[in-house]
Amino acid sequence: MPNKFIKHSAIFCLCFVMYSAINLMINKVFIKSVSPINETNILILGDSHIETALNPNGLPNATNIAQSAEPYVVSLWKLEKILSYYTPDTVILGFSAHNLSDFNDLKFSHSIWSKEIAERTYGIFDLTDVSDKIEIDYQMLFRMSFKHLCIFPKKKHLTYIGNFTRHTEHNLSNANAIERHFFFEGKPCNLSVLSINSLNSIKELCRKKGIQLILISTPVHESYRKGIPEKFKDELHKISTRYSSEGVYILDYSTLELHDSCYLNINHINTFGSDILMENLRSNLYH
Amino acid sequence: MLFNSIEFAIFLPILFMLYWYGFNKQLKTQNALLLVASYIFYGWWDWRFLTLVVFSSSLDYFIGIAMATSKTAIAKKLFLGLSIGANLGLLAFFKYFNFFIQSFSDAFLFFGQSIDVRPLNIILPVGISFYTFQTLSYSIDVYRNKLQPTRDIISFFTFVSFFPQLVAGPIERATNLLPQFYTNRSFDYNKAVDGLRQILWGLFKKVVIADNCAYYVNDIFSNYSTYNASTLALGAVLFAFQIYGDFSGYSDIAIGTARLFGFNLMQNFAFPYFSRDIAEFWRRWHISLSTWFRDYVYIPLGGSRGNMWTKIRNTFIIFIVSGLWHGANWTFVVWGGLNALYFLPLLIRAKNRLNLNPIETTRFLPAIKEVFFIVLTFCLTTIAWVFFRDKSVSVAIEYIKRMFSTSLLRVPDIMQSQLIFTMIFILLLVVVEWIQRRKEHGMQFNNKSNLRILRRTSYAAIIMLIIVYGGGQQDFIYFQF
Repeated sequence: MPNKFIKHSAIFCLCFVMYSAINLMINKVFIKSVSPINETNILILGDSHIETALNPNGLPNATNIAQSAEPYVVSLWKLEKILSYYTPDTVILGFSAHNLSDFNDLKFSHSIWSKEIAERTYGIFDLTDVSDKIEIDYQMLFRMSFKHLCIFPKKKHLTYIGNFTRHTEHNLSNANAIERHFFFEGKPCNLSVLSINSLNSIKELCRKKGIQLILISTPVHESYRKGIPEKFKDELHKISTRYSSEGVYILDYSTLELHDSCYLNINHINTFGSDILMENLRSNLYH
Repeated sequence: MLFNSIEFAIFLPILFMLYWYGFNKQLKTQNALLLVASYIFYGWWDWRFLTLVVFSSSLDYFIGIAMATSKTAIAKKLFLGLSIGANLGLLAFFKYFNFFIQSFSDAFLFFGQSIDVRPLNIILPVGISFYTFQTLSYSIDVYRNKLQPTRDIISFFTFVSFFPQLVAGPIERATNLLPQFYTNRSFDYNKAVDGLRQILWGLFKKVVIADNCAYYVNDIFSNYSTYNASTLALGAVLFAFQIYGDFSGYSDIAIGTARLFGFNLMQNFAFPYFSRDIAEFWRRWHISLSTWFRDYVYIPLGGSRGNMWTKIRNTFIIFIVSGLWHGANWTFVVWGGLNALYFLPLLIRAKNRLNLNPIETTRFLPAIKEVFFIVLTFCLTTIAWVFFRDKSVSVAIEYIKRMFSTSLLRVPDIMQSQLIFTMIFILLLVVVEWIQRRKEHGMQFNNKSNLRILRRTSYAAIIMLIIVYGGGQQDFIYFQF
């Protein structure tokens, strides 16, 4: 009879699970106790538009933790996490039409993004925010959580912290950016309820904590602007109007006149564009 | 039900406990349990395909008895013909119908005539190529008096549908597997442990190697016209490891699983990429299929007897039929033909049985000359794999032409950290399998107690690799056959 076999297999499995569980507990303690960033007055959040556009050196005591492909719900989790350590005076968040598209909802399930998003958010993921709203690749989430939490203890769990990235090249040939942001498998995207709700949650969180929220639309090339579907522009405008009346500072630089050489591609600016944008931003904020 | 799925992870322990604790008192009930479990396993994909398995099993069960009770040789031959006709007919319909009518139409078009053909919307039942060959081997062996026909219907049905090897082999011979259903199985601790290790190694090959390679292979082969030659070469090499990891991984899981239940399945892969020539490669790759063709097609055709032209003819027939077995596409025929061409010089010079023993048994590392031949054989098989992978012959030829251009010496276009990891895992696979080349599988160890901690740490490390680096669930390639 396989009693000895079952016993030995069970002991092995138990040892494996216990080893993983101990590492999990240690890493959870580290996640809770180690502050992810130094305290700064200005916290910059968002996706690749913000990642390439807002140089924190251009603002006093600022840090940019934006990451490419970041949906608003992840920005919310990041903000909640950071606010558990300290409260900045100002939060700057990217605010563009594509942020409201429901292609963002696919980032937790579609193979293009799910691994990257799971790897970034394993330490700050909140299932209650998303589980009944969008599809989630739980297997990927489990794998990335296991990878970072159960194999060995480590002090820093900062995969959700991004930074400003410099780009000097320019190439306006990525015409498929509109298709990526506003169409999926040939069908037009809708407004993302999760993204809009997350944005509302960010606004409320900032209001409760007494943080000045600034929403910034970064410059995009005319060829991209022309392709944005009307419903997204309308929703953007609606939100802007409502938020402005609630004390949120809205800065729309999407139509800022820039030479083609200032664009990394049709929907991102490069370092040269960033320098010009930062000058305008400082002028708006401090004059 | 896939081997690398949550459902199987739940199915297997439950079956194991029932098998050894609940149903071990009576052999017949134990076999019946395996039969029900096998039907559940197979029916998980699509219960409708169970009818084909049951039909195939019933047909050959009764034909076996009919052959044994036949009074004349002609009647016996007729029954055999019926078995071959019905089994191959099933295969031909489900697998080759659309291919044949399309090829028929293309042939007419070539001569300037167009005919209206209506392809049927046929779903290929998973594993049909495997279990039809398995039941055929039974009928043929009964006909040849190598095996007495069984009257134990449960044992026979279980032999046909035995879940570890039903959908992707090894294609078991009735002479090997069927008798194991007649004898009481007692639990063997060492066998079960070895089985678990083999399952683990198979999962590593499938989930870490094959599925991660697939990600890049799919991209490179789909967009081959945009990549440089070195990337295409990388794609071909990655596919060579994808198909090896996928198929040999499945076989390892199948054999290991069977061991847990006290069964011995045949070895299906014997480290084929360490082969020194193409003949050795085909003695080590998909052994159950190549020996099936040898015993049931090649030898009846005359085999190596007769003059050189007969031998060459038989060689081409075997390789092309083997190619066609893999799929209903001219690419598989070309793949088979190409392998036959590789084999030809060895056959003509009577050097096809040179390398019968495992490579380099006396030293750890092979000689330079052996490394050269191993690499050469690997390159030849990799070039042939391009036809296996591509959807059309013209695309495969274009792929190979582009692969041999001046940009072959440049750095590949796609070098990402994940690809580097994949290549490290491939290196790990090669190193482990080289060290274990005299064993049956990559994780076969002697149970020395002084190395127990090292062994168990390595199991834990492999489990972690499987969990973390598993490349997303890709179908087993050989399921499409």
